[in-house]
Amino acid sequence: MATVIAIDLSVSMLRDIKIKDTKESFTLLQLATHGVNVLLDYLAVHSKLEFVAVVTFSSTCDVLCSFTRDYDLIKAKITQLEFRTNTCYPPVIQTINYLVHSEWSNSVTCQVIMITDGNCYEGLRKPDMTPFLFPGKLIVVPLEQVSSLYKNNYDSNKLPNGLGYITSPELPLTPSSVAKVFEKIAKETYVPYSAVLRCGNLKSDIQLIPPPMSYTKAADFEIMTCCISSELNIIGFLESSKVECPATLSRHLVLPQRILDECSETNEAFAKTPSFCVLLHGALKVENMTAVCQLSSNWYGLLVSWADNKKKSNLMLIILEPGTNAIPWLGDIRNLTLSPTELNKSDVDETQPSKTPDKRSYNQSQLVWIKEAGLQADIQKILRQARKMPDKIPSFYKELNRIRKAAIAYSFNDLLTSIADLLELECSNLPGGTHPDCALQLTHAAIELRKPLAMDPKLTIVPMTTKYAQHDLM
Amino acid sequence: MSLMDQLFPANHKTTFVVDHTPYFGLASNSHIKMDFTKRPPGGIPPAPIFKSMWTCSIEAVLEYCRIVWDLFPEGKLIRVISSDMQSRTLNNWSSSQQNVNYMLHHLSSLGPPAKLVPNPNRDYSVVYGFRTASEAMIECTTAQMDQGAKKNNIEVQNKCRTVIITSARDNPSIDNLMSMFHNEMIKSNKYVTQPNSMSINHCHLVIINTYPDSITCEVTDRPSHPISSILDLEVHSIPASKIGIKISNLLLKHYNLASTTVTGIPMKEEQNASSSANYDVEIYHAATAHTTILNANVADAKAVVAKKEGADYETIKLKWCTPRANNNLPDIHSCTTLHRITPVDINSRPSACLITFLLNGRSVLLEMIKQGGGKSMSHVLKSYNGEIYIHTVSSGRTVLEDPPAISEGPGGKVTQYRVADFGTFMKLNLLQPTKRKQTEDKNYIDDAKEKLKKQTAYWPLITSSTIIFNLKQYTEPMLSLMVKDNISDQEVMNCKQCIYSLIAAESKNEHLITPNPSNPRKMMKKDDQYKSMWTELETFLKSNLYTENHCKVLQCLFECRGRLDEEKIIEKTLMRFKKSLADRPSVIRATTDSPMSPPLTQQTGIKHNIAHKAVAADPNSVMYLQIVQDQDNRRVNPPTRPPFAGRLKSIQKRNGNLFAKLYQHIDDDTDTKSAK
Repeated sequence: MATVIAIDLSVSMLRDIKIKDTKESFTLLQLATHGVNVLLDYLAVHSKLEFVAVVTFSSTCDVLCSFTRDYDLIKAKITQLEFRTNTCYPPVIQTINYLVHSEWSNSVTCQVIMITDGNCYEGLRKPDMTPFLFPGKLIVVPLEQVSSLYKNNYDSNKLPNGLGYITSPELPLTPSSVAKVFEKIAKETYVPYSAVLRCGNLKSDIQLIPPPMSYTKAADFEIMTCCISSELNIIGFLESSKVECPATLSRHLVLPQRILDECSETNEAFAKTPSFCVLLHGALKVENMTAVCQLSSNWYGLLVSWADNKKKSNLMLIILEPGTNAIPWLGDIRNLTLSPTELNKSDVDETQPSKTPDKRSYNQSQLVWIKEAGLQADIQKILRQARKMPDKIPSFYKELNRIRKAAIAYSFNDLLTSIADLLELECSNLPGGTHPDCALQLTHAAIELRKPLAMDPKLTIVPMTTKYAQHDLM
Repeated sequence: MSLMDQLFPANHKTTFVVDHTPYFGLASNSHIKMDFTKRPPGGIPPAPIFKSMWTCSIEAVLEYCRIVWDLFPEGKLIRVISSDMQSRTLNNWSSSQQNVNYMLHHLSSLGPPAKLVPNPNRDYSVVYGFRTASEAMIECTTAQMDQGAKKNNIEVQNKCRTVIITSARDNPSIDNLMSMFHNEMIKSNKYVTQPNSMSINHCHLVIINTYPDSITCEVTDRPSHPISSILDLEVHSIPASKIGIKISNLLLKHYNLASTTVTGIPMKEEQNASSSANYDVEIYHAATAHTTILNANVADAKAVVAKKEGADYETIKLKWCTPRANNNLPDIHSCTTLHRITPVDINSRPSACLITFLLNGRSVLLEMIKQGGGKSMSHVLKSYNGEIYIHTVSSGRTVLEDPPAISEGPGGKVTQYRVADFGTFMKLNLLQPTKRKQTEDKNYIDDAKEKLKKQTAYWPLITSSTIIFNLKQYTEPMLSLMVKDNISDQEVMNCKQCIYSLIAAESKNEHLITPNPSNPRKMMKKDDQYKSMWTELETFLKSNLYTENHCKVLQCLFECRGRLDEEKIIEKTLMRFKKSLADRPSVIRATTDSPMSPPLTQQTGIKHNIAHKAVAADPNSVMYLQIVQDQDNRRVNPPTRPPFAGRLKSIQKRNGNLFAKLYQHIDDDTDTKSAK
């Protein structure tokens, strides 16, 4: 998962907030910076692998810091922010869309945390707001001294089009109330995902990084919202070469669960306690195999060994599209069985996992003559074969009947007589040394094509039996 | 697109009504040259030929079908109806009739439109097809019936599309046709009988008005606009020779498809095999395959989008990337979407070459040339089982960059994992597609889980926590036979042989484990070795008591070890086993995580507790069988009382205790601390 923090630098953020009963006062921007620091500190402890980027905006939007795990760098950069003009939201969304896309393509879930002034209740609901072009949501933290007038106008903190929601700190604004709201966001957003990985009786407590998201798939007739269960059940194994490249929704590191808040001694002990997860990884890597696991009743994933570079190898969960047909060439996942005895009976199954009952058009000889060139190419083909008779007699007649059948289906009657003309012309043009059978066959085919019966789909034109050769009919 | 349109798309059911009246038998006046052969000088070239308007229309319809069914083998249904003096349907909604070959066959028997013979009783008209089309639209498809039967919250909406190909004189005649169609729809909606038919919620009517190329037509195009709550109308007027192109343009909109042109495919020349030239091939696929490209940098996207010549849609040009010999495919996990493709010009030589290349099992990488001249691999074409797919490849960075290695985590420092044994285990448990469909009572996934459970009932993770798995020269084939569902009498004999050979080895006082020359002191004493081995073997056999024959092997062990008291117990158990098998033929499940299992007993020599932790089983007593049965019986009658609410919400902690947070509404830090 990745996070974008968007900080408002409009003039309104310059406003001073006096802390009651003390002489201290802070600008809204200082409070914002404080909040970001709280968030980064949380990540440094609980979600070290999170990538964070920072953008600043006013009437325009700039990328202050692209995606990084170096939280100290971000902290240093946000201390030196300068004020600009007025707040304007559409450019922020655009910039973030572009930033996320150029960095991650569209396969990564990205949280956007926006810190702005009280104007957001109205500003983010304007019709010119475009949605994010990546999976993720927007969390808006408005910093304002008094409860916004607009806040009461909208009964919900949800933003339109599923953009995200607004969560405001408690009033009065103090560094601690701001810290609290950021802690709350961090706790709600960066929840480590713990699960149990099971293979029969073998199991391992694991953590998935980044946490998997629930997924909503809209297909014809149904909208499926799927959530991953806390038990990942291996249902069998496949050779990696058979899995090939199915579409993947997301990928997650599978780490054996480690217990936080414990002393280093027990950590050491844990490193030496055997873990099924590590065994599985080792075997998958050595054998170059893939484990298929069930994520929830109608959702499947693959476990593979994956290396970022040659040294650091890891177990990875590939989440497939929900449904049982996520790997079309293996057929319905529910129809995969483990029984090796059956395999011996029908080895055909092994090589061709799911036979498609109907071949696709490009896999069979279907004639399409919408473009003139298509028809002409087919005619040229039979003329070429005609000249090479008697060698090509079987293929000539096969091709001729194919064209004839298509012409009948399309009711293209003129074509047959026209081809007859062409064959006769070809016959009269034959050079001197041609085999006599060639002329006989051409004349025969032309006569057959002119007969009224030629339009009968059941008829097949067969070669003329001549004294010259025994033809192997196809 | 609204949610309802997405849930119930009009393209689920498409009906074509094609004019088969004598007028459509007329030539389209667009000629096709037939001048192929050399002829003597002064010779007259062969006369060009003309397609009839019917031929132009029907081949366009079939091309529409071809592309749709290539890309969506299921769920996108098309029916074709012809109309002259009566209407005729070429196919119905059933999947067996939804293929081009079926249609071609039926078209052959339909034949060309009749020559005009005045008939006082009945006119030739396209209108007869309207009623048939309406009747087809109210007829439920299998998918609609299945969804209706599911009783979801959302009521199934019957949305359809009808394309009429006919010839009208002017715009008022088009309006006339439309209102007749509308009336037929309203009429049909009145005669709906559940559950086989359902009223039409909405229909998108597309009228394609066509005419011979030589004349001009007064009918004007109209964009899609609502006529009533149930009908939208769209009109296209086009000469007959251009219907094919028009229909494939409409197809892209109807099914949300996009076009990709693979550019620069090197191909050998037909005439001169030593030289090669570059060709382009256009393919269609679902539009989502382009989302990544189009969402990225606007300038980059503009650089690859081009207008398709002679058509009113855009195509994305991606460059063919000559495959390198080995390892040219990206990682399996970088593929984000997958869609079927079909070539646009199926007969052209470049298309055929690309298709053959792909069907022969090779893959093609496609590169996107960016505005600045940079390249990035964006798609892969590849075939599986005779179907070609386009894969979108994620080119971005990955959030999984620089992860902690698995060797740094828990269990990472252990070196004695039984990796090779697990490899064998995986190979024994390969998933295979089966032809038999699963039925309600037969669920292959649950079967698979059950099988894996049996084979792992006793499965130590590391070599140092087991002896029997390190003594395969003695213990095989017993180890692999015992985990099977059923073992034959012969196999029981084989297992017994293994036990006998161990007994023989013990009597000869052989070393079970060859002493490690580097560290002889670490070796266990011979006596201890045998003791631990027998204990472990007993544990293993007890973990795998699935049938009577399984029990016989354990019985053999007891006999050999001279443990008569236990032998008697197992005999009794066997009796009970037989009885219960007679009562209930299903195989007894090996319930290993029973909370009733007796606590672990201390074992000698080897570190059994680690293994047990992994398998969470303690089959350490013959009483185990009894418990298994009790447990199983209890499952048949689950407790009727609902568990406490707190128990339902509770989380299992590492020590096995359940933990539920009380007073959850008080969401405060101090609270969490005190609960801890």
